[in-house]
Amino acid sequence: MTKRSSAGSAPVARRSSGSDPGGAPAALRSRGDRAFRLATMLAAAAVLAAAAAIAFVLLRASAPAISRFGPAFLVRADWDPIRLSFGALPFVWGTLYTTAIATVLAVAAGVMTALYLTEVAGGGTRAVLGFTIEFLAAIPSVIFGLWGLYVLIPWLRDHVAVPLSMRAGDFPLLAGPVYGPGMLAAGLVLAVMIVPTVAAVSREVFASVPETLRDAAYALGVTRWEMVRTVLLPAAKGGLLGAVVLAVGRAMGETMAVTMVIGNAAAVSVSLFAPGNTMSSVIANQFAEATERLHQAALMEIGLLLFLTTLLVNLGARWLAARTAARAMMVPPFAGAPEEGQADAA
Amino acid sequence: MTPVLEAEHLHLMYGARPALHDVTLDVREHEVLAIIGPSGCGKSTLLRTFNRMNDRIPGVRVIGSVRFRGRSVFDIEPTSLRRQVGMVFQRPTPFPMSIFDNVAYGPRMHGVRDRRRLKEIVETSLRRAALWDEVKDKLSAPAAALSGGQQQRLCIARTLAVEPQVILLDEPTSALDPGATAKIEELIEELAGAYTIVLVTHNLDQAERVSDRVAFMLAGEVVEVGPTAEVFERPRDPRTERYLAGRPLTVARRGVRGPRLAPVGEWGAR
Repeated sequence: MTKRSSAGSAPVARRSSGSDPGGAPAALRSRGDRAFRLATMLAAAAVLAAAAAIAFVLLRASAPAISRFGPAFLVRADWDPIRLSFGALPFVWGTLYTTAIATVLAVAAGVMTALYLTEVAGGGTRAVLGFTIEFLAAIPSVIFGLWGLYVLIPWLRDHVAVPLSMRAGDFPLLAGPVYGPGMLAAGLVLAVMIVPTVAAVSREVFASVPETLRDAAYALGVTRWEMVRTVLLPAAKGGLLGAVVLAVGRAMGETMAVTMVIGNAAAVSVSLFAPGNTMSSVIANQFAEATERLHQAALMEIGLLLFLTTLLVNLGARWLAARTAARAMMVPPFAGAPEEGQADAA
Repeated sequence: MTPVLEAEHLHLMYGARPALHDVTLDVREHEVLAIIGPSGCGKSTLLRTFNRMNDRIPGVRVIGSVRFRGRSVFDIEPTSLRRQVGMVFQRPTPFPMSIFDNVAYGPRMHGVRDRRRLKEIVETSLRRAALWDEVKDKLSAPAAALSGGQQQRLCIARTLAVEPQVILLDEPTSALDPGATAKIEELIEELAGAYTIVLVTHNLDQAERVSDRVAFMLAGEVVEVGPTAEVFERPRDPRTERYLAGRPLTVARRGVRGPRLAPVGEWGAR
């Protein structure tokens, strides 16, 4: 093998070793290159294989539940491990409900924090606040859960939930009874957890908007807020959408903190104060005690749902981002449309 | 008659670093004043004091006075000052919106709501910026789809739309090719009758072609100011003479490329 290849490629080998004195022979070098290609390809393939394996295992393990309940699993509100009757609606509902609360609050607070950092704060404040935000993002979620359980929930119960439901309990959103743990508590804890992500991503997005664009707006005699509203936010739209989707993704998948504060009840209620469960928290709550095969399969099917939803959110995000970019609204100034051409930006 | 803009014994510091030193300069009604000088000589900084754009940079300190029609610019609200003293930048800065909305931006922000009035303003401004014929059929197209030269004329139109009295041009052609540059220069000459224009430029030929007076700056100081022809042909200060001698004489003007004599800073046009 070695002999044949060295004989066959002799002229080539001589020429290349002549131009590259002291280097490895060409055959060896190209073998190294092949090995590199193979190694990187394998690593990349492993990622794909892992994703496929997860999908396959989830699908196979949830087969008993799928064949027993069919598509109705999605809309059944009944979850009874004793009678072995399972439906995912309470958890889909809980996930949507808490994610909505968390996303709305976290996007508002995160984007405003980022605006303060990039447009208002001076150098010193900027550094301290920027560091704090990154630090917040690194706190383990169980800490947020503890804080939610021992600080947020008692406070919410005494100062928000009880007074509101006593005065306006006829309004379904504020209906009692109040236990303490529930949708609002979970949504708030989630919001606090994802604010740093939203703030950090938004800050990058704002920082990437060229300073000259701000200058141009100010030079037309507008105030800071007018500049932010009419130039900065539109220019940052695509990137901010990315931040929102990241927030949604994190909120949907977050397990530990939510499990600690949501109240662990399989019920569908519109009340902010009602206890509930999300897709991830029901799995965390019940896996240890799911001894029946059907119960396990139902939990697996919820895992599969969560997996697919996450996939959909990510695909949707990409599609949205691509569409925004294609509308040429994010093309940076002077990105080089050909001179006098009928440029089709993007 | 009071000058439109005047700087008097103006010093400016970025933190501890001096950028302008004892600058005294006036800008007269309806003239085109060109400010020339090597990179980093402070010409853009001086330009940005006239509409207080330096306020945006942290750590800037100013000593001395800058007046707009006899009134200190520091006593005028920046928003109001900048409506009267407009500015166009080195690189085109179209906003991420349609051509129409770009030009209508200023008037809208300053309270013009009437659709017909806005259309009028947009058309007038685009005509004055010599861009109307090229874009009249695609006013709702995104501004980013225009070429660099068109984008720069759009930015000029956007500035004109707020009806300023003065236009500050900060190297408006340095990012453009020669064809687009020629169009902007023509435009400057056309606008000269109606507006007071201050042009910062690296391009000495451009300064010579379009300006009535020229100021030469070096290391934060104004070395020499005078009628353009005079400064270019009989500079009084040896430093001006050295700087002007260092430029390559363009084919169009002299037919041959001149000798490079110990340039003071960077020479000539890009």
